[in-house]
Amino acid sequence: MKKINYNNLDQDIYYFTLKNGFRVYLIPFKDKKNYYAILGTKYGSIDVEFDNNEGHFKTPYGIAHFLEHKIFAEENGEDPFAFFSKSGVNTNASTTFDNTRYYIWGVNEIEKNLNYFLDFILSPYFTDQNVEKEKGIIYEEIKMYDDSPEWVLDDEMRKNLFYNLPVREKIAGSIEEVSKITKEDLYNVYNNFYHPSEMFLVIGGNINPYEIEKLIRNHKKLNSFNSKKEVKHFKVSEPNDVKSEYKELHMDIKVPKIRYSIKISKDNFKDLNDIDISMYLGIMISYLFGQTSEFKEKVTLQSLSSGFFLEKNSYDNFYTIDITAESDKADILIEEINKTLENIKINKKDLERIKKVWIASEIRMIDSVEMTVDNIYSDIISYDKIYDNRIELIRQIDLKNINKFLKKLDLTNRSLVMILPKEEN
Amino acid sequence: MKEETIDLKYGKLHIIKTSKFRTISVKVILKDKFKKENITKNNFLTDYLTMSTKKYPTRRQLALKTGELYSLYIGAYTKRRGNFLLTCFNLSFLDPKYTEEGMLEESFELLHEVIFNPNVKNMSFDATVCNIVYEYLKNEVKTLKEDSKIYANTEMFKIMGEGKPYSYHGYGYLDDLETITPKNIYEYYKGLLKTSDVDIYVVGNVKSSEIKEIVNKKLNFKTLKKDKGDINLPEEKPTKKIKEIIEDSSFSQSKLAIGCKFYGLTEKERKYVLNIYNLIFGGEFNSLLMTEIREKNSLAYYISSSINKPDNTMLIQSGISYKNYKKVVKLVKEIMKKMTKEEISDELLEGARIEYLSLLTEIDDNIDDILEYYYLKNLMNLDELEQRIKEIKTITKKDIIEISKKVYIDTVYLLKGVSNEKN
Repeated sequence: MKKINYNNLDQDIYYFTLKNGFRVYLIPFKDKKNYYAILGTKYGSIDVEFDNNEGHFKTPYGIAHFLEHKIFAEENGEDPFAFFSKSGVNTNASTTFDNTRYYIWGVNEIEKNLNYFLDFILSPYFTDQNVEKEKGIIYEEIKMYDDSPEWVLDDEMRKNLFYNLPVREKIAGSIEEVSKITKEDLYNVYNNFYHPSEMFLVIGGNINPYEIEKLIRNHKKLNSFNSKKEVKHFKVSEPNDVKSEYKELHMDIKVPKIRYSIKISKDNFKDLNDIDISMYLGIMISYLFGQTSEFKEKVTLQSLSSGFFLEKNSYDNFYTIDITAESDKADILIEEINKTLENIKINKKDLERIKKVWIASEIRMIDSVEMTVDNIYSDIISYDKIYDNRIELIRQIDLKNINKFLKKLDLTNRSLVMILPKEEN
Repeated sequence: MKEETIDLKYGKLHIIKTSKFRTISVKVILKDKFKKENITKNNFLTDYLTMSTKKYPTRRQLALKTGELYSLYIGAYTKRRGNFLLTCFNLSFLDPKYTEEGMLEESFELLHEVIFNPNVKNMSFDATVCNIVYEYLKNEVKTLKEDSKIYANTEMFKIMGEGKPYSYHGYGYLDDLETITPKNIYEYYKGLLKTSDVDIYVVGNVKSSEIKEIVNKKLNFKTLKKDKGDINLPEEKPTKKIKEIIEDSSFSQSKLAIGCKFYGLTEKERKYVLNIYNLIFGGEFNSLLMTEIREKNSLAYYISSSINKPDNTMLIQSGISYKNYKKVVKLVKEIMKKMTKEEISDELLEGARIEYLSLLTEIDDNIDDILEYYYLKNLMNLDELEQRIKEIKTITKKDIIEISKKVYIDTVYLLKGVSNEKN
């Protein structure tokens, strides 16, 4: 087991890898009573097609999310929620485009619960009956998201942006696709993507790293997996331009909603690490559209938007910048966004201001077990490694490099989705 | 960890010292009696104060200042609890140990600026800023109906509450919004500062003497302490007939909101048994509602219950298909009835008990939870931690049966969706 220091802030991270490829990251906190563990696999809703030594497989959309639900079914009929609740521990799971995570959090009996946590995830039990039964629950989940304008904007925009990437489809899939899922499908994807070599554990809080290491090295089920399975995530090619520049739809709403997105290929930045691109884009959007931007000031003063959210996402070989807004004056707002994206140049003072805020946030973050564990988890999903020196990386961001990056940045691939109120009859 | 309470002319200062965190959290609470028309005014006011001050007249200028103070967070909001309407200001900043000397005072100075030094000209708030706040709040009220879950819950409480404080939601009302002018909202602001009870909480690695001095200097309220009465609303006698309302909508999923009332609770039941009852009934993943409605019958993705002690109410909420509406309501009623007759399992009771105790333990891990713990303890007159742990351990299955007999369904509200697929 190795040890590194996190951000020079009196916080250590321990890590090791089992022979079968299972990776473990341990973050013992000095002053906490709780613990929080995430078990993840880099398998998400986009992995509907994959290859292994037996051939090429195509599965229904929504299957990763379906699998996440069904992992909680146990052969002996025991409900994991009930098991954990005996010691006041909670559990849940979530599926995204590129990963699935399971987590537990609580204060009591960490060894018993962690053992069981690994056991239940590594012991699938799918039957025709329990698969059918889950469908009703998932249909209600899908309908719940379909009723939300924000989710609809998100779903429609990904369809606008991408020609081929499977992120075009919803994480939970459609009712039609989900209805096709069988227990055989579930076992197939499970056996390919829930092998320990595909998975990793991040656990933080009130833990003794050496005891947890012992527990994991001695865990029967986990160590019963030997050979590393070869499974290849299926890659599709994707053009750099957007598939569609505009889409308009109508819902029963009072104030129009817009999603404005920019599709950015990583192709121009072969000399940069993903983390560099991500930080430079972060600085840029914070400068252009953040709380201290002139754009935001204008939007506020002219009441151009009542809700305004900014995000940066990463899909395969692309980044997207996504603006979501609610506005009665969408035309003016869009014009302002367009204007803001012209001739971007960041000056030293702005950069230092943003860096100061970012560093403060990093220090704040380490006060929370949940946020620290989540961040380390995200690092592994996004970069396959931990950035234990983020504060230093932020300090080192330099104006010349940013402006060089901005010059090469192509912001012309844009798309707009609008949801308008239904015409009153 | 101990709370040090200092009496001030205008209220109380509560200092909770802990060296576990890299931040310091501050909360200022102005407590006033609840009036419906004040919800909107208070929302207006808190938005205005955090948008425009004398020194920082625009949000951008304020944001530049908070950035300078190492990403200090300052915010304000309004919340009703029982008979009270609370106006809260939150401040959170890095322990100066991680920034620079003088930041403690500078941070409180900004809080002072936001509370005491709004953008005022000629005895009136600024008309342009008022207009921005007005537009913003108007949209917020207008879009309330776009979230089917929130809409169903607020409609249910409106019907169940019939003009009582809990019949009103916190988003504000258009008719009240229309009456606000830059002048009368400024008068309202002055009145609020004069008549409210004030509590100030400071949590973090601080020195009492230093905090006392800074608070005296920076948060000099001029209000006089006055008795504001009891936080709890009176209990309501149950009515035999359950109100049932079905409203059409164009949403896909139907949203169910069931409103319940408690009647005849003993002090122990109100303070303790109610929490355990709720955890067992619908307060967590492993609850009876989730097991029965979701796991056994696949009728919903989520169903949960939540209680409001000062209001004596409980909300049960779920998203369902319209065709299952009758079945879900029937199952909910059956669970409630069964709880009045049969003992629940040991596992459920022990699970709820240990969940409650874990939540108490975890408070120590988050600085804002610590603040919230002390603030709610004082506001709602709750017992000390040791006492709570002791009391929770005494709760029996019989206690759960007894309290189950004191819960009544009052209103069943359904926002009917259009989805009709054949699952």
